[in-house]
Amino acid sequence: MDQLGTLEELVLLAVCSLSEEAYGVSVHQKLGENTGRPLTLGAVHTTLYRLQDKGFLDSKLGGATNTRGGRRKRFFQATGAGLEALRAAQSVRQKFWKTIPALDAVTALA
Amino acid sequence: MNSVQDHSNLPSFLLWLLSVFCSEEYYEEFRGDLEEIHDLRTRDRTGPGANFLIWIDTFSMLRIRFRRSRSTSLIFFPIGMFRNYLMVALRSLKRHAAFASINIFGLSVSMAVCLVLILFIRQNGTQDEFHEHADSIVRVYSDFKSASNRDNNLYGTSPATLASIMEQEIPGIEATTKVRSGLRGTLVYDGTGLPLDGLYAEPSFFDLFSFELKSGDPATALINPGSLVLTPSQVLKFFGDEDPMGKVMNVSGGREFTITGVLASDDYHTILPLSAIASYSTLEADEDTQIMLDTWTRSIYRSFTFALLSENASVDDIQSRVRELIPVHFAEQDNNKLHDLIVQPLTSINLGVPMGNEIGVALPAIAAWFLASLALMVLLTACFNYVGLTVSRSLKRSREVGVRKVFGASRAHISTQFVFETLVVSVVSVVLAVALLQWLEPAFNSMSFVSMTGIYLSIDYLQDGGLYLVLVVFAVFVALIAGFYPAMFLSRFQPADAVKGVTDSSGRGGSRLRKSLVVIQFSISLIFLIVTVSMMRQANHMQTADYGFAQKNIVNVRMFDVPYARFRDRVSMSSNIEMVSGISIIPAMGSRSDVWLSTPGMTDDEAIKGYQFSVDENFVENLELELLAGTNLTPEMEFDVARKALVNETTLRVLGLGAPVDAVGSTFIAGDSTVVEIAGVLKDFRADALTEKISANVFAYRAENFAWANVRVVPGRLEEAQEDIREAWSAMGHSRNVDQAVFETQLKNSFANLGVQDMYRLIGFIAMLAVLISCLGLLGIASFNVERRTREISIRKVLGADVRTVVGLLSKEFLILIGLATLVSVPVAWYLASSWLQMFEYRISLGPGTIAIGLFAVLSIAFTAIGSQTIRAALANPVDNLHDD
Repeated sequence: MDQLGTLEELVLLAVCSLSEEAYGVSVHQKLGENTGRPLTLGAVHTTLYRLQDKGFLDSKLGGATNTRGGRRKRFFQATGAGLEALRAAQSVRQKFWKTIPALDAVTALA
Repeated sequence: MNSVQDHSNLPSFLLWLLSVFCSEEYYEEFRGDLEEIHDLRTRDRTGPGANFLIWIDTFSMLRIRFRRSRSTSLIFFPIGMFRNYLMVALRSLKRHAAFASINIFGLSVSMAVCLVLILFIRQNGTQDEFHEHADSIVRVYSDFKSASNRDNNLYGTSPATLASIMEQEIPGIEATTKVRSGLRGTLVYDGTGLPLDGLYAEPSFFDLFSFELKSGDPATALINPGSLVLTPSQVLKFFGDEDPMGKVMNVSGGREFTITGVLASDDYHTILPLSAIASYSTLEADEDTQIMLDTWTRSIYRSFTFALLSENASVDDIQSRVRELIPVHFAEQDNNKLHDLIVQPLTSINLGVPMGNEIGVALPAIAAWFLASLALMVLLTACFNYVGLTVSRSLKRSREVGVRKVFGASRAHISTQFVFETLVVSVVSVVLAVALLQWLEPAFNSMSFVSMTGIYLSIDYLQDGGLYLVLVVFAVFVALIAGFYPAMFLSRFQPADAVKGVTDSSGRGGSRLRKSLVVIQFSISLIFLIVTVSMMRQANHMQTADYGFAQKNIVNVRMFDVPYARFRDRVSMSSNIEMVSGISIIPAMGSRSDVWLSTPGMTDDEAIKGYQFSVDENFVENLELELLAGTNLTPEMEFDVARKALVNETTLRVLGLGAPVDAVGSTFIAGDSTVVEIAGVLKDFRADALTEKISANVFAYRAENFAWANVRVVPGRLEEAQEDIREAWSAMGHSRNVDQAVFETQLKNSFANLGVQDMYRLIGFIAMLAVLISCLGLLGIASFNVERRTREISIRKVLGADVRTVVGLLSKEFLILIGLATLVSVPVAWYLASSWLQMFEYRISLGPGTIAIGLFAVLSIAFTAIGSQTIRAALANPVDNLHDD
């Protein structure tokens, strides 16, 4: 199974946290809010489509609405494989966290 | 719905970029995302940040994986698709035969006119390209002020010694050849005499230029003095089937020439006048001529310098080196000043700068531009017509477009199909235009400016391969110009709307365009027509001009080198002839001889340019001029002895010599220092062409200059008198035939007169064409308009509208458009016509009448076109149109 890159992980997380409402712009906004790191819309789209190629995401075109000039959105949703990959990534990090017990205290002091 | 679809807050460039780059699969989503994010940003933060970020974001979307796939792009086209396009195009032309024929007719006629002009320009532009070294041959011309002239002038000529100096002192020059014009006279062999107008040239002439000899050796033909090379047609006239080589011919004046060569062809595509070429050594053999050739201030008027540059030499380089020669070899001398020597490629002599003493007949670049812009105007009218007609019929085709789109055609496919359809129309029109050319070519060649200059248009389909390229390029060009907009317009329809027949929203855009096209077309037509009318009136005005001297019953006879007095004495014996006078130059025909006039107080710069005539004692009476004061000239007043002259009123005015009576006996200076006494004053008359103001004219008695005899015949006895003149001439024993012309006819056919007639014929023809094409277009649009509103009209009639109301309703739109066109075109036409008239000193005043005639002509044709359609619709029985509903 493919490994998740850092950006891929963040995008995947954003998609999951948006549940039904994950599409290009919302993912872009979410990432902006949570990381404070400016990303281009193109980078978000490329990552979304790469994740879809890897089988971590699924997408479908939404219906036309009266917002944004009637142009349709493409909604993304994490697949089982996606969720599993996220958990795997998290457990890797978790393992590291457990080996550095003092870190919590250090950050708390800082 | 469409307006919602098309609205976007994105910069249009980005939108375009996205649409071109992104595949259809991603386009809608990406565009939506971009628009939304841009909207959010512009709402959140104000300022340029959002506008900047949207560019970054859009460019970040342009990734290879989102790219449009190549198989749908226009570049790689399956052949089968083309075959299908062709079939669809032919079907649609067949189904709409009436519209197709209006389009094809308009396009082909205007293409034919356009082609004539383009081919004429092309023919001039490609002159001398056939030489093997065409690209490396240059000509040097001069910017020269002569002692007898106050202005600088460009001359095609240069000092005779320049060629040798260049060859010796400038590296990069492989060879030069001196050419000199002025091989004039009458060439005589065995009693046959023909006018001679040829060149002198060095043996290297045949090295530089790729002219070939049918007989004779090009290496030796021009070596010996008295050698002469003739053209095949000249040889035929003199010798028939005899072998001309080695034959000795006489030139009037006693010089003998031996034929040493015959050119291979009469029709070299060159600016050099090739009727006869004599060896340059002929000139050098004569001692006086040799001295003249060595004096640059004297040789500059007729000598031409051609040089062949070596491969690595640049024209700029040679140019600066040639310029450096001026102070060394051609320093100012006796008021002769050579300002510049300019190196010019041989191939750009024609369609170049107009200059004096040009080697052959060259069409100035400005004239070529004028013709080209006329050609373009005509073509554009026809293209606009096509656009207007096609777009106005879009409703009929919207369903077709819709169905195609539903079955998966992309916009690119559809627009290609429409451009292809236009291409088919344009190819058919080009073929028809080529057929029309057969008729237009002789008509064009019979225009006087063509026949006078001798640059005939000749279209040679067999010899000229480039011609086909011109035709193909032309067809494609027209297809793109005329087809582009309709293709864009028609392919924009959305399938759902198109199939339902809803095209109102898109139809509005089309109708705006259609309306502006009608306005443009009619403006062009009106402008052309009004200008034509003013030209026609000016031409008439000039034909019937009052020159202020007698022109009736006068026959002008050219003297060649026969002494005038001998001829006069002989011809005066006839009882059909009343009087004879001698003159140097026929007045008002456009040619003249300058003289600079001044009074003792004036500086050089203040001197005034006037024109001099040599006349005899009968001149005043014969031409019915009025002597205001003083006495007429007499044979005793031979100018070189008496220094007396007649002047016109204008001379007195410009020199400030007072009233005619007071001026008699006072003096002025002609040229540099000749003091001339005024013997008498003549009332002003038009001795210059009608384009000119009356200028200062000086008439002196110089018997040796009488080149023409003005023979006054007894009224009603013209034919007998002309016979007597012929008889008197043959008694003179000259080898030339008599050259006589009726003065009145001569004036009517003067250069200026013919020029004006040509212009109004050419422009008039184009005007007619423009009007015709726009009216056909109007007819098409009107009939479509009526067709579209048939049901509306029927319902209105059922509800009680009368015919007049309906006609008014249908015509109103066009009336407004034509009114608008009138408003636009009248000031433009007025401006153009009046600035054209400025060329003529003797001109009509541009009254409202001229404008009215033009307007009336266009409007009546336009109303006929509209009326024929609307009235038919208004008269139709509503039941016929409504019974289906």
